[in-house]
Amino acid sequence: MIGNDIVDLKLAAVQSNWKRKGFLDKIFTNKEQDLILNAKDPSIMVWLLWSMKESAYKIYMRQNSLRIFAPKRFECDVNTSQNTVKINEILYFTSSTISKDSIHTIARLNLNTSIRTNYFKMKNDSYTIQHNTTYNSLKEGVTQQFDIPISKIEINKNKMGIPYINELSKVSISISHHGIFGAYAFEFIEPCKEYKILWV
Amino acid sequence: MKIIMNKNDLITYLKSIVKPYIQDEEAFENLSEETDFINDLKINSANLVDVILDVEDEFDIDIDNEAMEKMLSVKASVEIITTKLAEK
Repeated sequence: MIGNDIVDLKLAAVQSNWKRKGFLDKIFTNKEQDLILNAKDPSIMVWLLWSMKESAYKIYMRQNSLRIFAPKRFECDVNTSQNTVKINEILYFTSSTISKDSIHTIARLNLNTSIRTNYFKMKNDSYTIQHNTTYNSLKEGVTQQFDIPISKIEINKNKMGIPYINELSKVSISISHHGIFGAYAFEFIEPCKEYKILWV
Repeated sequence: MKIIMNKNDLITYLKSIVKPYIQDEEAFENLSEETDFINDLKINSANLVDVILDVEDEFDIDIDNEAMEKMLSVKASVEIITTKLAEK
């Protein structure tokens, strides 16, 4: 299973005031708050940790069929080899790409599967543009990966808001957009027999 | 003194609190007890923290982590606010 999350740093700076009284304490453990306050760039650390928690939560939600808003229970460990997020003794492996304007994080349960991921800048931040651009990019990625005609790919969301592609039940997908940035990630097990059979 | 609010007043009050954070106008106009903050109103999840902090400030209540976990919809929020107000 996979989860991904993107943060538009410029938007985050105006949309959220993490210095607001009580904000950090609702989201971050004491250890994480120390990391933030001692970081060279505290804002980057806030959004890095946030995107780690969010992407891990997306997997947690799938595993447990449960939606919760409990960011503090997702404990981040940031180090030089492998960043992780832990909740209820379950470990999620995360990797993040930090650029000047965005942070993109992917969380996974298993490091041995194949993944495909991409993040991109959009022409504007209207919700419709964000939504459509992200969906189309995911479709393009799926087309290229599995050699399926783009017209056959339909992305749906279940009752919990988890996206899936009808014919690719074994492919775990994750979508994220924020401001002018969009991202997707999907995970599959090779060889991808299932995907081929359907389309030949 | 206990503040007594009926459910409809509470929903109206809550609606004014979430207004700055919503990204779906239509869902906001049609806000009801069944409305989901993220799936319907498209509130950014980081802003959900602001909603919770605003609720704490406006109602002068403390939303602990356990209560916060459930605050994903109007219905759940109304229940939590009602309980916390009654405890005051």
